[in-house]
Amino acid sequence: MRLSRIVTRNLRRRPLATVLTSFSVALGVALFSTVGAVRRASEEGFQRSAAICDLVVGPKGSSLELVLNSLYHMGQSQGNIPFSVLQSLNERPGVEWTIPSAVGDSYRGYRVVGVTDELFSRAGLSVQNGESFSFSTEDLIRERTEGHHDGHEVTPAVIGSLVAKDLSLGAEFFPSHNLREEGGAEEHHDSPTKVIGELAATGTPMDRAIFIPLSDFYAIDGHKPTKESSAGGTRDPLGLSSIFLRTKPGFHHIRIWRDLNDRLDTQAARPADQVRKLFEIIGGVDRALRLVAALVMAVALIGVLVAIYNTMGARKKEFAILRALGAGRQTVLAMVVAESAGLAAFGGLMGLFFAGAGTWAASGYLQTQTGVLVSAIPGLSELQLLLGVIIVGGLAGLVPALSAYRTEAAKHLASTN
Amino acid sequence: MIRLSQVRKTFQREGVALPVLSIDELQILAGERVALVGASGSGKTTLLNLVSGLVLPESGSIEIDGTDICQLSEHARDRFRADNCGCMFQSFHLLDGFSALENIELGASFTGRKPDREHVLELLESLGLSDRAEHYPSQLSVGQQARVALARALVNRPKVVLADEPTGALDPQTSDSIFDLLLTTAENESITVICATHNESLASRLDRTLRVEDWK
Ligand SMILES: Nc1ncnc2c1ncn2[C@@H]1O[C@H](COP(=O)(O)OP(=O)(O)OP(=O)(O)O)[C@@H](O)[C@H]1O
Ligand SMILES: [Mg+2]
Repeated sequence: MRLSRIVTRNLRRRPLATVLTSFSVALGVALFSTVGAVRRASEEGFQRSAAICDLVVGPKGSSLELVLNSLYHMGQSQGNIPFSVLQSLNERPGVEWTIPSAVGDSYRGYRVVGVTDELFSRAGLSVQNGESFSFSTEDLIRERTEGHHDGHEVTPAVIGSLVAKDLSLGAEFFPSHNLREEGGAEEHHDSPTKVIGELAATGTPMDRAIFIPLSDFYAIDGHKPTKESSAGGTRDPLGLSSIFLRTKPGFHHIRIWRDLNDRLDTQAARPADQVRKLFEIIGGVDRALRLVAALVMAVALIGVLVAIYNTMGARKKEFAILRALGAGRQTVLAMVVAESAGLAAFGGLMGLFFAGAGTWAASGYLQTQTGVLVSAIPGLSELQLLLGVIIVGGLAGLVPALSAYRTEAAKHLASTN
Repeated sequence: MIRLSQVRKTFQREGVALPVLSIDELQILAGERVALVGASGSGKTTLLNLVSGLVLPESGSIEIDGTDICQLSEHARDRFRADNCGCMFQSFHLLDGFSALENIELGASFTGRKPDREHVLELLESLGLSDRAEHYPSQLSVGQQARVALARALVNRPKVVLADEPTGALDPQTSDSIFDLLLTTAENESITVICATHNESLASRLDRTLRVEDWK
């Protein structure tokens, strides 16, 4: 009989202890791997969106909030920047392209974002069903310089893939002039919006947004200028919430960045830096959670050690018999180490399964909340974790294994039954 | 052939040396079946353990077919035992978590040779255990357990079977039949048998009787 079979037989002989100890290992592994997977997926998802542009231009205030609000559709808008910023940026030689955007409206919790159609190509968003609207930054500037435009009769909307759950192609709806999820929202009944296109899923927060042409955004009731709103200031309803900007390579980037930050009414934030900053903040929580998970695993593996160690006294005769049948001390040692490693492996696999099932169950919720898609399929880091758990399990098994190794066969064979 | 010369075995108990065996010369021929008799505590088990290499003497040599096992490393001695010895015990010492078949297979698990399924099945057949192969020790009668223990001792085709009161736990009838099985197999396969027993009538059925008291 092979050693591996002897080991599995021995584990199956104590089903309760085997299941309980490996279950505790499973909990630690599941926790550890889930925290890691969610963290990795969200950082990847955030960085993917951050890569859309080099700079986000917005009003003065927290640069992290600006990036979160404009690229990730989270939090509140900090106000507007004057439209003239867009014009002057477009005249600068170092600017590759700009995409203006305005936020502040929502429909059933989905943000309605006024943009120009360049966003779709620049952000790699492709229309899966239906069609896109056509309204470029150039169109916007022309409209502004030539006179006011009141939007389409029916506002065309292109929706992210997750929005498709609540809105289908051709559906008409009325966005509300606030960001609240439900209730209390005053609806803009004067301007119906119609879904004309649906974007392919990207696994980023873009999947949760509804895009409409910027000109129509201004036409929505509540965005029209009033007497109180001082044109040009941060409350300028005809201003922009933010501008996504790509600079030409070389020294241009730093110059434009400095100039925008030197202005009294604008700032420019680098999304990649802001995401890194955000994950440095979250990283503390993440590390604490992983530490807790690591402690759970350590305690579980000590549990494995103790569980096996407690059986050693009763198993001296078993080892003695195996020695009489010709097993060497090393074989007996290896057997106990393998039992411990086997328990750890069983627990580890079970843990990865739990983590996979849990992530799978939670991924829907996470995606609707953050737009980030977390994969439930174990990757390299999960396999490394499993390997690590098995190795530590084997090492823990050395303690009882040494006691088995030292068993004097002749002494324990003498006892009857 | 098994040859012991100048073997001295002493146990230490609470700091006091307790001489158990002192054998100047003992030879057991290949295929010979000898009984080992003596009072309780006289040293029968100790002699069997010396021959199997589980216990080492303070001095002397123990040769099995020309190999002095006292000169081997512990590892080599374990391997030598796996390849050449079959052990039987009074209380059989079957392993609980393993079926009859698996208990028998364990007897050949530590040899360098390939597992021989055919041989295992032959043994089961010849010992009338074919329909008990998948049963666990607790599901077997004492007589069946004894037969499994015998099969386990024979499964690695040993040169020598060391039996420590192998029928001590059995009623006379079962005891006789197990003993018959042991002796006929040993005869057919020219296996040397050393069998410790308190039972003089069983002893008389073997080729020779060794008295432990002679080695004090
Ligand atoms: N590991 C040991 N440590 C100390 N003394 C031992 C040890 N093993 C055996 N002895 C002693 O050696 C002597 C011989 O023991 P052994 O078991 O060989 O006797 P035995 O003839 O097999 O007896 P029984 O018929 O009761 O099985 C006994 O006095 C026993 O107490
Ligand atoms: Mg004895």
